Amino acid sequence: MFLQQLINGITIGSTYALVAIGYSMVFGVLELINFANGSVYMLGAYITLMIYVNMLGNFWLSFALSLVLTGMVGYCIDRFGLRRLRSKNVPKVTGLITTLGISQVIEHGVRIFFGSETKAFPNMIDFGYVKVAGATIGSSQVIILCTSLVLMICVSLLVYKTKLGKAMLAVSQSSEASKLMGINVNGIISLTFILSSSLAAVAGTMVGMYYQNVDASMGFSVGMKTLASAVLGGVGVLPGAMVGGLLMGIFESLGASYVSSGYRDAISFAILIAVILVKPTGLFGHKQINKV
Amino acid sequence: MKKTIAGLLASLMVVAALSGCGVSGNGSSGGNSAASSSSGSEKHTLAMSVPLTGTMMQYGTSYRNGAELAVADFNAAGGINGEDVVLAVYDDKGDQKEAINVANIIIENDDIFAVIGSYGSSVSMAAAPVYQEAGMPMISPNTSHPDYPDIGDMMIPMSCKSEVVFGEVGRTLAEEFGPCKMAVIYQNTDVGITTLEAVKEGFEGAGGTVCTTETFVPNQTKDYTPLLSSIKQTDPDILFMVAEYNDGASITLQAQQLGMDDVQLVGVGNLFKQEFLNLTGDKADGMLLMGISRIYTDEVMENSDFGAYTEDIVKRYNEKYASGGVAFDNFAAIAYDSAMVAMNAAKNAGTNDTQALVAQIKKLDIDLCAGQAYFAENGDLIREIFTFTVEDGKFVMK
Repeated sequence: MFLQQLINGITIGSTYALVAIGYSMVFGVLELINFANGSVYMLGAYITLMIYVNMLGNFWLSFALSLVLTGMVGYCIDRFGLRRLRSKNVPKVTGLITTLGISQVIEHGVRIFFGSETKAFPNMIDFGYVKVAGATIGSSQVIILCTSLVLMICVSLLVYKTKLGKAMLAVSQSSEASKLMGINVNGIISLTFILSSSLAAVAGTMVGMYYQNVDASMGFSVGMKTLASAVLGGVGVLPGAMVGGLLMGIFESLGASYVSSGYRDAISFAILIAVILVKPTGLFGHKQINKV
Repeated sequence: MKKTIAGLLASLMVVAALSGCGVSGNGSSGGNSAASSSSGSEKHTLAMSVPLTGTMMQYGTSYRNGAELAVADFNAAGGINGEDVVLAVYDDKGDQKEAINVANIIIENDDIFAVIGSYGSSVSMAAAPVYQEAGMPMISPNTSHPDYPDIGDMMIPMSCKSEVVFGEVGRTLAEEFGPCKMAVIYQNTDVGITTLEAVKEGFEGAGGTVCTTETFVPNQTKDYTPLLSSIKQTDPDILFMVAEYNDGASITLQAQQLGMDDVQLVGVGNLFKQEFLNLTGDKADGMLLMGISRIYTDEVMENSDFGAYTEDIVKRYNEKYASGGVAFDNFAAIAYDSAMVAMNAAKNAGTNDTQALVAQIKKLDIDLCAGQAYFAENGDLIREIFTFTVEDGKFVMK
């Protein structure tokens, strides 16, 4: 059973990792926690389902469209919700509250437009099960894990090996200096939002396929957990977010099976608190040194 | 200039916030407005406190539609001595705090003679003390928590206490399947915990054993594989689920995935919904559903013996509301009965003496479309228990 729960934990942890990357990236460039990321995760799954069911019959086309649309929603959050606040130099907490408000708008908007009942989600990656050493591994789990790993590698390559990525790292170090270097800071920030929203949409759709249903409240709890994963790994550090997400998934799964299912979330957050007490910057984070 | 604009916007925001602080309420149907009754004459307004937004909104919508139909039928048949009844629906969002706000608004309205609400024992029991203190009869369609009637004599449950229903269900299961092992997976709410205790007592009293129980927080997780793996290890014969339809569907699907095909799945009334079947497809075949709820899908209605009164209501409700997405279900049925019972009692006993009104309501001496019910000597509501099963992805009555 340990192996089974470990596999379940890694599967769900890899989806958490994708969303946690979004949190980490946005925090890195803006020093802002984007609470709307959880709602965007749910929105991505809903848009895929709605396009697939109501308009096209082709799931993968709907998925692609959903990525684009959710990316656009991410762009709109930044452009219309946050950019003006940045130009007015308001305290960071105002932006945070704005994203909190946007997350509520998205969640309740979805509920009003699509109904509050849980909707069935087709599982397009179900090709059967394989029994390995007493544990049942489903094809969906393998595919989800592989997709998440591929995406994580792509994002890392983008951030650490390309010029665009260098620009993102520069903006997260200092947006003032980046402007002086000729980097289009607003453009980079918008790109970050688009990327994090698309990743969240991928995660949402994959989780929808895995559990075969979606509902409007799935964004909220996942949003909290993935924020915690990002903090666990060290906010602003990309590999940290991935490791944090995987660990959170594993802790949750093992905690639910060996300690108590009612307390699964409490266990994940308790571990987070323990890590932060010992190492406040997270597992991979480093202290911010403000040199004068 | 900037300061004036800022000042104007600020006062606009304050006005908007203050008006938004109030609870949304709207009166619907019927002729007279709620405030137009003269003192000394009968009251005409029936209030409802139900979730019209939020995670439970589909249940609130069923309640509201059922009550609307009942009020329309009652007014068409003459109303209270010729005067129409007005239905005032308030949205409590399925939230305890909001339900208390709504209750405070309802008791201030002099024209309301009874209130129907809410959805979920936790929410109903939060608002109940407000109604009890104000002497307002509260008819709760689905509150099955055993402590609810004890809150006071204004409390009228239209659903049996869990110990009454599920004690019986547990006994029936033990008789049908013999002294075998049962695992219970239940939601961590008032309803879940009381149902668990009742089923356990009934089942073990008739010879079975409850080998393990697992709990979960409803609507918080979709991953039941840890719980189901633990349950699978204890090798039960029956898996009893106390859950809402979305969690129940996830549990059913994941139990199949883990290879628990030889375990008999049994579910409670909240799973008696077409939405449950939409989520599980044909993976729920063979499942037993036991409780006081009935199912009203077309397949079941064709072969049912629910009676002409019920069949007519189902037909008219579906004509009017099914295009909105949700067909007639047990929640609409009990809401219909609750409204009818309240209005008939108001007609027969008058609305000026609340004790007499409550006594008249409890007589339940009218036709009920949700099934036979009566209040026993000790005050408990007794209803018949129905068993349904799923065949080929459709509900079938057993």
